[in-house]
Amino acid sequence: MCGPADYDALRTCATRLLGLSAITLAVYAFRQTAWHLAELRSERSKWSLVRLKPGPAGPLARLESRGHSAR
Amino acid sequence: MAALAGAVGGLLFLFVFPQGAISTFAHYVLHLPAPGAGIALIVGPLAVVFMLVASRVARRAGGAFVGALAFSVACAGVMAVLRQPTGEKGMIGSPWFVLALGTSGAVAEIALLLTRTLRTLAWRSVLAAGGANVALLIFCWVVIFPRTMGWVPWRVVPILLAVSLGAGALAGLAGWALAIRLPDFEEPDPRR
Repeated sequence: MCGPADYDALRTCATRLLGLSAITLAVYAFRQTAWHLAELRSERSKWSLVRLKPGPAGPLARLESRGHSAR
Repeated sequence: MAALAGAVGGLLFLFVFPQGAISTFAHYVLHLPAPGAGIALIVGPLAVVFMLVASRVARRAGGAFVGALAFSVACAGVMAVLRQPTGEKGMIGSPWFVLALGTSGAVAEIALLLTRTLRTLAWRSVLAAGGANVALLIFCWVVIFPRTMGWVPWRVVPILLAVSLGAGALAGLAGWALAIRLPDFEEPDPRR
């Protein structure tokens, strides 16, 4: 009913399937790592901005509220 | 986009499954009866996954049908360019294959439309994929194999229908899992 067995073709199929899976996994891992790194960087820049901003009750803000320049 | 998704699926299918691999796996490794085990277990489910992906990226009715046609036309086109024979079963790469996958895609499309009231996309995908895979197998049994291999024996029908339904449902889940991870092509997410 069916054709002759072709185990070479099956071996090729398994190799290609494994290769494609490995490439997909590598791309996925690269993408996830890049995303996490970008996230970390944006978190760090957010915190550094917060640290540099004068607080509402800080000496600079008090001076500016009295009409003095910050200089 | 749907045609692109289908064509990519067809090219991947041709690359991963060289001629003879599907029959050997289905009949000599799994000892499933012929004819149609390879269609039910590998060709149909793989096509169905790409139909669902095509439906998702198209975001409108007709995506699954276009994806199925693009899948089969890509296979037939590459085989015609490389002058590959369609095999003794006269299936993959032949005009009948385009017609068979077109029918399967139409069944998937109708199932997706009829199950629109279902809330979860996962169930809709499973139902559409099961229906499309069974439709593909029945089309091959009734239209293609009588010309090349003869009619399917009755004792084989229930086994292969069950295999087709099960593999189609699993492919539906796989297609859904793949489709929901895809970026939205119609309305791009501003966070991406």
